[in-house]
Amino acid sequence: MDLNGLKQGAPGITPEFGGCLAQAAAVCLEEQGHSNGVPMTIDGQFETTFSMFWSPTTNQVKKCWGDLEVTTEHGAYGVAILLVLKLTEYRVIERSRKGTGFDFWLGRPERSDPLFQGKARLEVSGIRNGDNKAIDDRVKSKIKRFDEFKSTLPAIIVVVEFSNPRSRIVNK
Amino acid sequence: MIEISKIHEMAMELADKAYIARLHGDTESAEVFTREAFEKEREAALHLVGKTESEPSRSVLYRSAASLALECGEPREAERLIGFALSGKPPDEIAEELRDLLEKVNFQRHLSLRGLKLGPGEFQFSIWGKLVSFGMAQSEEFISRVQDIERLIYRTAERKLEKPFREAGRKKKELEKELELYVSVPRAASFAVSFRLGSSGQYMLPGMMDLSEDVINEVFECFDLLNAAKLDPLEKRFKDKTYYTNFIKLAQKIAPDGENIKSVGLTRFKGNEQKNVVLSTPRNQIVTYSKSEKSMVGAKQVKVQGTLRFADDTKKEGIIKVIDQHNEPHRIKVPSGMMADIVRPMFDFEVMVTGYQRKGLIILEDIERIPE
Repeated sequence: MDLNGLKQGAPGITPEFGGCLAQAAAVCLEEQGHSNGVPMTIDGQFETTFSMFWSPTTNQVKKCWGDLEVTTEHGAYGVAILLVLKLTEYRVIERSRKGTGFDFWLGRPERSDPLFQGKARLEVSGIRNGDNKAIDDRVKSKIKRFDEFKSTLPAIIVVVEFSNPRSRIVNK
Repeated sequence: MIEISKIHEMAMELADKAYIARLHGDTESAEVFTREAFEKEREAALHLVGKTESEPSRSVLYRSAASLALECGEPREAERLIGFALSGKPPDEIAEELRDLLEKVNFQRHLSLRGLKLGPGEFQFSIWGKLVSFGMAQSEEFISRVQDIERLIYRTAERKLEKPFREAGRKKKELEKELELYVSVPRAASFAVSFRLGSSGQYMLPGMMDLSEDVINEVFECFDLLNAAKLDPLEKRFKDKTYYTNFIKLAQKIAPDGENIKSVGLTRFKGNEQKNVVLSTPRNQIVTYSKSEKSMVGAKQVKVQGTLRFADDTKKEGIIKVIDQHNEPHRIKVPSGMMADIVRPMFDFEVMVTGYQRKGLIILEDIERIPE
């Protein structure tokens, strides 16, 4: 799975923004001591492994992505968008602003539903360095929120962990 | 709808540009692009003002426009847009996200000082959440944070005066006399009080800045860095790492828990400019390790729940014992900087300890009181 694929953009992502997400994910992986080809294990809805590839980061890129929390969140978005593209029939079709970040909406490219209608939400959480329990906790807290509000909107939850690269994908 | 989609797309492209500009440190361009994005998104949203059946399009566009309004520093406009969205038929979860956003707007409003003048040695502290209503707050949530702010203020003063970290014992009487901390009566904003740090001027720091002003400056700047998860520059401010550990742990206690308290705010004046720090990341999600601290991360994490019964603080790194429900004692090593301000106030209470197993001991990372 090549992070550079994000630089091509998608209906809901400009190539510039996709490039930023690729950089953030690359910073997270390198900072955890990984090099090109490191395997990422996927579990949950899908059971598979991908080898991860990216363009090496420069000092300037690292400086831009100095904020640990923001970088982890955006890196996770980059990985999640590629995983959805590889493993499901969905694509990121639209997005909206939520807080100071973005909310991504998934749809099937062949359909032309009105804005945000007939779409699924992409719920992403990133962990820079955590164990299985940390991944379980993040998934549980996302599901709890959906259950609390009896959510009627479909969603795909993706939790990405960078230290021992793993991702969990859950359909809700 | 096609036209609305196009306007929305333009708004998101502008928001992208703002984001990328901010990432490269170009704050000025980021502000211009954010404003343009807000205006476009509001235009898209207003096309659906009466079309309450167009969900979730309508509420998502309004939420998006309101988020951008808040980012542009226009809380009143954000409030208006949220009002439009909630007056329709948003799906439950979008309605909840709109209410969360409205809480942020309200909190921004409560941070404003409503004519109150704050001097250079003063700041306002406010909290907001489920256990806070207009002019009322659950006493434990409020008092514990006030006490932790007091601890943080005196620790910062001792650090600024280059005193070694005090692991045990009370703060020096002369410091208490020099820096007297006063608290005002609460105000019915979210729930706000003013702190005044009185200083006799006996201790003047290099550059002749008054100690009280310097301490408040430092506290605000450290919170700003912690809020932005900029832990490496934050850690560099602390020559003595014990003070750093102490700051991080006290800040976590002051931070919201995400349930009962959703936001904690600090406001002050620097010159004529109002400075706000809003802590909204729940304490258990605050990133607390910097690059130099990662050695602990690979170790096996353990959690122990029980009553804190024994504390030995005669050494630099003290030992505590937590007795679990099976009457089993667990020995826990407390890193320097945590015993006096973090652990001791929980003595004899039920606690949850998180730490790392090493050589028959648990190295304490976090300790939290279990609500009774």
